Amino acid sequence: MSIVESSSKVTTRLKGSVLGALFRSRPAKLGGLLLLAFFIIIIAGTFLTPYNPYENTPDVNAPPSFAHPFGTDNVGHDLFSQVVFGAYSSMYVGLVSAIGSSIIGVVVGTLAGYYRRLEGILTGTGDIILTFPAFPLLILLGSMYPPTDELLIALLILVLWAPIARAVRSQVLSLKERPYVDSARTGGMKDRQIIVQILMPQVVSIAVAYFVLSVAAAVVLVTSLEFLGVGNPDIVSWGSILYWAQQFAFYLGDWWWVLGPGLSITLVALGFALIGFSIEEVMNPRLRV
Amino acid sequence: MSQVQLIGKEAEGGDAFLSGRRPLLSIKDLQVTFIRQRGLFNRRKSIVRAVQGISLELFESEILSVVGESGSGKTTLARCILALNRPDSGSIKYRNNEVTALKGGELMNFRRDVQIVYQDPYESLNPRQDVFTAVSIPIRQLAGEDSKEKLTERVAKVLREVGLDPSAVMRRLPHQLSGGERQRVNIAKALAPDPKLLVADEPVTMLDASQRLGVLSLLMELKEKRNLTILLITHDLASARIMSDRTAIMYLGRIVEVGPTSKILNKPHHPYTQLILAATPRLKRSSEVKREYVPSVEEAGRVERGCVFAPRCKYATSICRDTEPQLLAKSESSLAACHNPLNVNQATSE
Amino acid sequence: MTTQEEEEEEEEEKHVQEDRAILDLSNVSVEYSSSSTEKKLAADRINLSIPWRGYTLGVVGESGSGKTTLGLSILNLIESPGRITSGAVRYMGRDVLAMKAGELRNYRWKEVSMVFQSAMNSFSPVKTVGDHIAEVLVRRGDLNKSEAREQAEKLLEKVGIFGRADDYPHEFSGGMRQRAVIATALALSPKILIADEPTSALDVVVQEQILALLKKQVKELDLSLIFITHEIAILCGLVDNIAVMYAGEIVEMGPIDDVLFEPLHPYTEMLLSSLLSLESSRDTLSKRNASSTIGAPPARVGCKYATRCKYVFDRCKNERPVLREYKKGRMVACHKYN
Repeated sequence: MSIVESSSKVTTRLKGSVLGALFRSRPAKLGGLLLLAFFIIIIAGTFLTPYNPYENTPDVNAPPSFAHPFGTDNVGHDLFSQVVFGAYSSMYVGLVSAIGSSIIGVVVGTLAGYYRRLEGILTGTGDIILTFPAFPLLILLGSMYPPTDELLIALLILVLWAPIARAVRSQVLSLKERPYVDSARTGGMKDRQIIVQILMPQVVSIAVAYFVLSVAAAVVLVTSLEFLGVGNPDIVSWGSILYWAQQFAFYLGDWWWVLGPGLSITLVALGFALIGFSIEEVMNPRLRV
Repeated sequence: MSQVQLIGKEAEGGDAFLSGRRPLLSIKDLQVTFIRQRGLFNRRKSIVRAVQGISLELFESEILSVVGESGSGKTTLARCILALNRPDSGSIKYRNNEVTALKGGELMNFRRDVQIVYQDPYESLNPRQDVFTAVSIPIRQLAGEDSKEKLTERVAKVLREVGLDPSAVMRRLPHQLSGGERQRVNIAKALAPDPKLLVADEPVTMLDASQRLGVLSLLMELKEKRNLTILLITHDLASARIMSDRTAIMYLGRIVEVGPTSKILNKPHHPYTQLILAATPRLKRSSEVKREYVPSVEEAGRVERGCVFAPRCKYATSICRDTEPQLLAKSESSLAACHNPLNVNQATSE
Repeated sequence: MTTQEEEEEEEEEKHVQEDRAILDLSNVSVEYSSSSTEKKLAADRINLSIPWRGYTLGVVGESGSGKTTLGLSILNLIESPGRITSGAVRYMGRDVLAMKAGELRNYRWKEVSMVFQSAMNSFSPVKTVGDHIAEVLVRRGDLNKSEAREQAEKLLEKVGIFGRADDYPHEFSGGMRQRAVIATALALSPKILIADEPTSALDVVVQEQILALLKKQVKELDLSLIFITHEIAILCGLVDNIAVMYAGEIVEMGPIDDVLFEPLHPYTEMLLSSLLSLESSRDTLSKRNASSTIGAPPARVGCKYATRCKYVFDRCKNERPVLREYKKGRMVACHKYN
């Protein structure tokens, strides 16, 4: 086979060897390990921990010990249980936001890339959102409405869809010019079919990369927002732990208070980020071909 | 004189092949302009007149070659004919239906009748679709065939027609096929809905030299079997010579010469045609080969008035730089846009 | 000149006087592994030599014949997943494959240069064409920036581009870019130029320009040209000799007029008969069996062409023919001629 032919062989190995390449990539393996560790701890912790996260124990301001691996806070809450149960809330918001923003990002990006007429409005909106400082915007909006998980999810989606849309749009723009798209059109396929059957599957790979990265971003963002008081501090989550820690830990010298959430966020965000970057890396050389 | 009248005239002279046909495809004064952004960092916009006032007729059962180099507008012309691009002005009529106005069901009918074989065997097949899927899509979409058995039957039939073994290639993906095989799949895709008109856009340019004759033979065979009309787009005069009845030469968006292939290639009227003829590589003994340096299109620069080819033309005179020549009859059956045409006043034999 | 350069020049003169080839490939084999189990021999025991300066050679073959691999191996540019598994490449007697980084720097572009197939598309869009050439001159030719820039302009003029050294690559047409590539390749006055399909994406008129340009340079610079292509007709009037490749081997070699008009090897015959040229007539179409060009894959034992050869006999299936001289100056690897 000529060099030309063997290089196009590479392009079509897209689906199969993405997973294969991922398995071989060291950052991805590390990321996967971190997430696995995190997962195990949380699941095990849910069943094994004897304390209710809302339970006030007499053991207040206790540093980490065998009974309380992350110590306790000023009213005796076992911080480990809080981290474990808070994980569900934080992860729930993180995952749903990532899913929501990915779906919106893919749809908007594809439409913006395919239909030149729509491009102006869609990319314009995206650009506005991208350039606007996310944090102040989120805090502002977050303080205007009653604090619920749904609010947080909505806010995060608002901020996270734009980068995905942009990446998807540029890929669609280049794919649209490929001869096999023309061929599909002269073969009788309608626009809708071309978008759904041909373009979207090609876009999936980059969408997945961005999705994974968005989870990492979302978890960090939601925790930060809750830390600043957006959202309900009385419902346990990593952000709420940090919120209370901010109020009390420094006066009381309870340095271990931030240990739990800090460690968890690091594990999760790092884990997802490593995997996300590896996917992107694996995707890129193929994208160029 | 219009092309129809000219052809008719030749028919009277005894060439029965082209007598009394109505044009299957009729193009009038086609104009396509692109606005291109020049430069990465500067936003200069330049206007590219890809197609400038092309008029052409294609008759049933004939093979017409459109020959031109890159930048001649031939691909843009093909895309307009296929309703992939919309022209800025002018009309394209397929059997008296205006192509540029087709929508919905009528557009589907048109696509069933008018198909294209694309140039690039590597890029015109979806890398994720196997051969069966690729060839069956046009049948499903344009011929409305849904039954799996019927589809398989039809796909197998057309694959055999193009010289491929259905059982061997049906489930293969493009990267598992050679360039020549991929191009045959492209031809199969185009023929699957049983079209009447086939546009072949540089069908063999990206194939090895040794495979070209085979694929062109195949096209000729299919043309005769199915009574197709073929519009062959190419930059290679050799392909035009062996395939087509008539040839049109394009230069910078215009037709500069058109007529029966044998006349055009043996006794061209337009200096540009002569230039391409001289530049086409031929198998010759070393002593017989002459190499001459001719300025390229860019070196010639843009032309504000007069003949676009004048800056590169050996025979240019002052009228050439002043007035744009029209496409007019220079001999019994061929037209050329030139003020100082070659090979006129000669007995047009052959 | 440094003492090293003086030494090299002395050696070269000695080399030429002793009538040894300036470039010699002996039994070069290159293997590509596309996965842990799939290995392909892209070049199979190639023997080739460029006997003197100004010797021009065309290398012809279909895709997959190994012609590009041949070009790359001369410059020791074969990269993973390919590797040279055996054989030697000698330039003026020096072993190219054993050269260290410093020697390679002095060898590539200065002694032997190459124009790649897609070179015209590999210009960086953020540098002007003049800068591209100047860079090569500065990095490898020991000129300073302003000297290099001046020289770059002169080189562009040599290839027919005047006053456009400050333009960016995308402002050049394909043909102009290719001419700039040639200018770059010839910047340091190499003795051998390898051109791999330099005109494949170009129109015939532009192609003519480039071929005329190459011919001129060959004459003026006493340049040895190795022109790799799949279009035989281009080579007419451009090179004096031709080598035909099939499945990684050279199957025939000799003066171009002899090989093209009196081919010896059955593959050369087939190749010539399947050509499309202005001389072909409509009859060529009808005589042809439209599906005959899809040939059987090369044989694994014996003569590789045996699976498609119309003259095949027993010996062909068992014994691999060696490229040897049949008549004066004509070499062929075929049992018909033994």
